[in-house]
Amino acid sequence: MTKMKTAEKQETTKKQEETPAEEWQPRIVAFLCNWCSYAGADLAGVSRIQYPPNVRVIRVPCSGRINPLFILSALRQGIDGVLVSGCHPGDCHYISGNLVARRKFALLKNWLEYVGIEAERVQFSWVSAAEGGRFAQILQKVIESVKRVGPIQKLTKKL
Amino acid sequence: MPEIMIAKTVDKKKFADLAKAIVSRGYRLYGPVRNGGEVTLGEVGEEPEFDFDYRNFKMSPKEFFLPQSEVLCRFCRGELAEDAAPAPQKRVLLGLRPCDARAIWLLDKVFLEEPEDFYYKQKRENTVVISVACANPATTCFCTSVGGGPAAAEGSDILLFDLGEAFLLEAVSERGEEFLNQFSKMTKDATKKQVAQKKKIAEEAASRMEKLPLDGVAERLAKAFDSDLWEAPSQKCLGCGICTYFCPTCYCFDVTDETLRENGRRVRTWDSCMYSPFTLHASGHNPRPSQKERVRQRFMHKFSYAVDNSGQLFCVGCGRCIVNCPVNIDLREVIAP
Amino acid sequence: MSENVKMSDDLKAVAKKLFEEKKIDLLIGYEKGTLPLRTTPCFVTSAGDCDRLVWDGFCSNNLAVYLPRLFSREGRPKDWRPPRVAVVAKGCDGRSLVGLVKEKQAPRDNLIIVGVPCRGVVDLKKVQAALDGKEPAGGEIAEDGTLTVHVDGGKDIRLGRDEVIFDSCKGCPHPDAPVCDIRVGQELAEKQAEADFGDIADFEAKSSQERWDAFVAEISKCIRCYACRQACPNCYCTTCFAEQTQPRWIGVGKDLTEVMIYHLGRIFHQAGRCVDCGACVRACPMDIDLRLFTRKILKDVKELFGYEAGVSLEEPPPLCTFKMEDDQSFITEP
Repeated sequence: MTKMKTAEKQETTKKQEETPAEEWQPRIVAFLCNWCSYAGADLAGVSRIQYPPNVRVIRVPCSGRINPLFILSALRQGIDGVLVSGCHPGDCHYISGNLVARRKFALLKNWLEYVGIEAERVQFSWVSAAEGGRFAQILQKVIESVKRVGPIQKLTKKL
Repeated sequence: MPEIMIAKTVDKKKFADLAKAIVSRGYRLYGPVRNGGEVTLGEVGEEPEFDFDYRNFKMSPKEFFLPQSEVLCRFCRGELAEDAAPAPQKRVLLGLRPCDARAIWLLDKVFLEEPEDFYYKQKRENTVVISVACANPATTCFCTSVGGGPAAAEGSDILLFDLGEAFLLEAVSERGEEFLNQFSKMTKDATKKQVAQKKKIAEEAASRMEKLPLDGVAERLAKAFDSDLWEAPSQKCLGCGICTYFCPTCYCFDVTDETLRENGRRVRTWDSCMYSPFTLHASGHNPRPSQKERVRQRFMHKFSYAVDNSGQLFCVGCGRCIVNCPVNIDLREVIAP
Repeated sequence: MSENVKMSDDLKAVAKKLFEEKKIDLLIGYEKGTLPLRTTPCFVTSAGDCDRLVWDGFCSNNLAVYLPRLFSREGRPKDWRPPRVAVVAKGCDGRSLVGLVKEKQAPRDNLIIVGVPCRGVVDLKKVQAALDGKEPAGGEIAEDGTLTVHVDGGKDIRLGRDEVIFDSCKGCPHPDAPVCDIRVGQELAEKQAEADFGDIADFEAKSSQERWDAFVAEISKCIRCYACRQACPNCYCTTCFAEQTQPRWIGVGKDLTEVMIYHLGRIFHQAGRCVDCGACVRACPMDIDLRLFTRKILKDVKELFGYEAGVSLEEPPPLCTFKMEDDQSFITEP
């Protein structure tokens, strides 16, 4: 999983290096649960709903699969913002995966903010398979909020 | 024992001037820096004050020769980068205790003998070690039991003694003599009386230390591999690694590659035999599966295998492992019987 | 002083009886250490050995940390049976033991918890600060908790209880082990005040940059010796994420980013499990104020899920369960 992300990020790095004069674009990774949020994102695509290309999607079976280390690892590799999206509570394909995850996410978000990581960098949402438009709106909001806080400086690994 | 070559004195009031002169000659000067209740070896400020009234530095000075994290080389897209590990600016380490200096002398046997370690060597060659002889050993010190002493010269280039009104600086190596000669205008020759005074300080300090029964410990340990003396300390041992990180002679390291997209670097970092993954094989087998094997290994390496390899005990009696162990495992208790 | 001696004697008597009645194979307690003002963990296997045991305000180590490895089946022959172990437990240690039993790291039936009354444990770093460079030669704790330190070549120093005990002991809400098989000495007064998270709230009120700077300042001291992890009874993973190589989450070494992620990850793994025993802070050789961070997790677990670790054997751990009405104010809406 981590290798996939790295390969994808190499492409974006090249692009950034080739167009230094343009406005900085944030790099955002979105972990989407297969049954709801990923399908919702797919619906946005099929419906030709436009949203900025700053996001790379990683599909997971359920939002409950998210290991907090995925998020920390993304920040460490220089990703400016992370979105995790799952089914609405009560609609989880695995019944309660997102419900247990909800507790984990609440704690994690507070935890990272507590030590000084900007709140905008790690966000969580519920998007269903029918909500293509809503997915695009949430993404738009996330991208704009990450743009406001600028490129990530904290927790990035420098060689 | 290296011969004492020349002995000079400097008035305490003039010592700060000498320090400034050292810096103006292009040396980076590291000396005792107080931080709350602790003393560490750090870069001295613009207006240095020298107070050698401490037992020892919190951390050993091995960081100056074997840094905890050291970049060995860098690479990008398969090509090695030039000069990833430049030699440090020449520097003076002032304020080490003779036990820590002896530790450097022992590390030389590991890193400067065949095969030579390039990274260690370039740091070693650019360093002048000025040790400060001990007048007040701690109750956890036992350098005289492991071949050292409060005024031992191994590992040092210059030995400094506090004579009250003045410091006595004794060159105990060629590098030390060369160094002192650069500042001959700022120092006076030591008188016979002063030399006698410093001898007395050293003897008194040595007499205050408890002598542990360590004669022939290497042979005795070699027979104790299967003994049950390892049970008690290993039951308590948390495997935390503090002893190895604070020990001035522990030198085990790990080499890893770190990559981020197309860039990478090879890093050498301290590792500890007290951790389980230290001997974990790729197959999953671990020849030291429990804390018992690891605790035994540490003591036997220091007190038995090291003697086989280099002829010297690899403990200098600084006492840091005793003071810092969270569960009070006491080397003196384990080894003495 | 006399009370301490009586307590130690009572403890020895309890221990001897357990061995004589063949109820245990091993008792983990404390004995006098080799350094002044120190005790050290002690593993007793027979009635005759019980005289080594002591109980006083120097008994700082959390002994629960030894249980996972004692009961682990890894590498044991098929016919191995877990030992029957008694553990001398202060309040905090007792809560760690409850946690370990819940997480199936120690079978309740093989465990005898010997509760001892704790008035707080002496923080040697504070004593050292008061001694200002001089060395202690020994010391005693009076009944009211005052510590008298005999100084090597100097006068005695007297330190009041509140000056000298660990921060985690001040205002401790559970001085007695909540689940206990045998109690030595009388149970202390009712549960003390609730844990006070006022300092955490103060920290939360600071700006994001201030908090980051404070985090950097503390974590920069870290030498990544893993003492905090090894001293923590809850950190019993065979392979810690910080040392995992498949995948490699963080590199080895002292890079600040890696060290930060190690602490962020380790402390987050304690969510719903940490009992604030303070073992991590005590083990840390670099005086990092870990509790400034661990207690944030404790505060959130209390406020968001109404859960306190280590008090009940029946209550499910908060991250293994959920309520439909759990807070979701943090969710991003369009």
